[in-house]
Amino acid sequence: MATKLRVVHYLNQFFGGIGGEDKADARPAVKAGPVGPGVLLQKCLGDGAEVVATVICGDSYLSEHIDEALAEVSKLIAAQRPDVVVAGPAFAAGRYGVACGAVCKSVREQLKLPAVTAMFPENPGVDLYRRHAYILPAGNTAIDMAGVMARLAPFALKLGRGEAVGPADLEGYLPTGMRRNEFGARSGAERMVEMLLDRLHQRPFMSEVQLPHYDQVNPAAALSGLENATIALVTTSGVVPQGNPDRIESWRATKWLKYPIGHLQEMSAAEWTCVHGGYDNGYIRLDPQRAVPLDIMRELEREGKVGRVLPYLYTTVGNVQPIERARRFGREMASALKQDGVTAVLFTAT
Amino acid sequence: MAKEIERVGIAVAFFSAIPAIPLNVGAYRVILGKAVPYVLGDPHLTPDHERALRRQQVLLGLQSLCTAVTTPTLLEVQAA
Amino acid sequence: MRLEMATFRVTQIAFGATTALRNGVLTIDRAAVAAMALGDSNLTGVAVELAVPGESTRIIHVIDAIEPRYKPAGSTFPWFISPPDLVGSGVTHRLEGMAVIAAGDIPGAADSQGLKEAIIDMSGPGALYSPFSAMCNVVLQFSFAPDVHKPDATAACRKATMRVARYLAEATRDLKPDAVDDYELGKADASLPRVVYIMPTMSEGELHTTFLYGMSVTSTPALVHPNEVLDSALISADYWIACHRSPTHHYQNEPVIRALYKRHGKDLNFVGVILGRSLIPSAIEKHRQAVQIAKVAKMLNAQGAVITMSNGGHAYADQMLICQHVEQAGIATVLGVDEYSDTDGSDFPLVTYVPEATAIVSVGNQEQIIQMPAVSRVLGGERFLAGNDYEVGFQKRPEEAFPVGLRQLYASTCQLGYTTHRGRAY
Repeated sequence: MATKLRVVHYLNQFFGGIGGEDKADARPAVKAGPVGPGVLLQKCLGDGAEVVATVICGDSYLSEHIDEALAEVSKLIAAQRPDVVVAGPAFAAGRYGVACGAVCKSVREQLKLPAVTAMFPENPGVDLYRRHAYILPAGNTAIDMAGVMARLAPFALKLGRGEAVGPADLEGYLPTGMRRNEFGARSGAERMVEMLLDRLHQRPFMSEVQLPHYDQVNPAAALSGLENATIALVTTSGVVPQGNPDRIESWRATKWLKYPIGHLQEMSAAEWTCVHGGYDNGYIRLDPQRAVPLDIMRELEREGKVGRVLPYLYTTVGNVQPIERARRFGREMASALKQDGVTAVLFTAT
Repeated sequence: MAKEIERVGIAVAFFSAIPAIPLNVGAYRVILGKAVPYVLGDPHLTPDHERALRRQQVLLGLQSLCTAVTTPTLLEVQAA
Repeated sequence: MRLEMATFRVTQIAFGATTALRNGVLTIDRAAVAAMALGDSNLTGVAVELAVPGESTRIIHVIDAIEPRYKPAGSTFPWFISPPDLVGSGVTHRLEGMAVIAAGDIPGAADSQGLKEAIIDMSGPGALYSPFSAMCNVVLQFSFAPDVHKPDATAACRKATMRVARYLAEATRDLKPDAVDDYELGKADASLPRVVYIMPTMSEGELHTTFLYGMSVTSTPALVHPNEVLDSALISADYWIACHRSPTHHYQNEPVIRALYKRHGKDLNFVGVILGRSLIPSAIEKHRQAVQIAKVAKMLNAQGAVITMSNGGHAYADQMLICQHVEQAGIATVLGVDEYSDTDGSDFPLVTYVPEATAIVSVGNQEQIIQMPAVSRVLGGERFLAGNDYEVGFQKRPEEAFPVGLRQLYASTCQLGYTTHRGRAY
């Protein structure tokens, strides 16, 4: 007879019955047994598992003191010796979704325990934590509570029992971003035709590659004029000094660099080359200004049409760049550009 | 990458020969380049004409930096 | 147009005194096959070998794979070795379960714009990724004149391979087929959704292209009857990255066309094939093609479109732009595409995308590393082609064991969707 699994349930202040927004600063606390929606979770788990405790934390407290809060939450969870942790569901509540994701990540990494949560697919917690926790899709309000719990419970049992988790489309969780190759029953061509028929008949279908929900960035304010502007030249075309002294790779580059150009009037083929491996880089090697327009910028400086060109070229190779790394490079460049007092950027890509 | 620069409030003029890509991932000021291997200029022109084209492209980019935009916008140098 | 495809199954091949097919065994007159390569000054010779399933054989420097075909009346391989008459109707004989594989090291070809390495393993873990490992293959290992002009070399090799493919299939001239399939776009009920198949195929530079009746595909879309593709009108001359080349064999057995034919008249109306080009060099020309392809699809009153592709790099942008314009014309699309998800599957799979690409089928991540075992025999050459970047495994000799990306295995992620290989989200 299999032993009953021990489940700890994580809830925010609202679902934990402590209070509303006024109690969002509640510090982590533990209650015995299931609380609020945990009662439904217990019902769905049946005899397979017991919700031995519920850990409750205010959404504000967790987001404003994330490291301490997670440490406290983890401690409370660990003390219960659970087999699996269930967080939420958070539905469309952004801070709650982020909290559930963070708790699951912490439970997996620090406590080495499996964890699952559920939220609306566009909850910001999904993009932040999909790689670090199993997230089941949920509706955007608690109207969907019964439906979600009916799926969360068996998933939690599966995790708690250490069973292998299959692909996202079969198991019903949001893709974590990991891809695996496999052979199946139908050819790619047959699947294409069947997916098209599903679309044409308005049947639900799941794309084998989901497009990202990228967060929208607001456009930066326009400059009032260029005469006092510091313009930086940034490129992903792979223009580097001859000899590629810092050995930037020609694809999946692991670095971006700043090279001094303040002393130059132009980018000459004698001093610069191009190491991008994703296209015929010969034209740029013959005239690097086809990617870094320093000649024109110097003209415009002399004419007084721009204030000045930043005396550093920011460069990397944008060939098959993993998305997370591209984002990181972007953040690092942004921070450096701000420190360099840059007003605006001319960004050339290939 | 350019999006992260835009995010901190530094306006970006994005030069690309495949504008669908930056336009779809949140670049707002996109200037069309002629071809992937030469996003600025055109090696099939004489050097003077090529430099003139490059200047027009750069000026278009600089102009876009001084223009308020609310949606991803593609600009291209009009043929003479 | 009604094509009667007569299939003759081959389960074994062997050299023999004459070329003949009996009870599934094809005996092959080796000297006669070798003679087909003679007379062309670009070729200095050909070695004829056999590679069958289960053997410890590795074929390298793969140039193309062609299924043996013979038309008793009409053009077999129109343009190249027969008049460019319309194909896709009448009787065509095919040998099923085998391929003629052209392989060889073209001098000077392995620079950044030249031939890339391509491998087929007949057994072991690599064999899983190639349908040719389950076939009986006649391997033609070509030797080329030293200062040969590369496009002339590949043309010579192509014609010789076609001559052999036709010669072998001609052994079925007086035989009864094992099966006959009729391909005809008969009347379909007006209520069935109209579906078009859009096939951008690669063409870049002088060396790499796809031929329609011997014409390189261009960015002016060509409306084609699916039977023409099935009847060897579309020929591959793509020597780029191995994993997403579309072998001529896969055009002759085009899987989307066959899948659409299966449903024609039942749940859809297959209205035609639109050929386009990928690796179009400039943005403005890419845009122009996408507009034109959407126009042709609209003129066909298509309601749905399957869009595949061949090759990679900015070919992905061609496919996505076509998708965008076709969707904006009100036609629902499904794309077939391979993935760049990094060696551990952790990266976002697409090189580029448009928001309209909401229905995608994946043929797998080309960056997965496969541990290839040592083999007893190597066909096609003696050292791996130089200039094949990124692959540490190519420092080894081809008969040795080495790790290699799926990228280098011939047609392992062919985006026509010929095999069941796929990438799955976890």
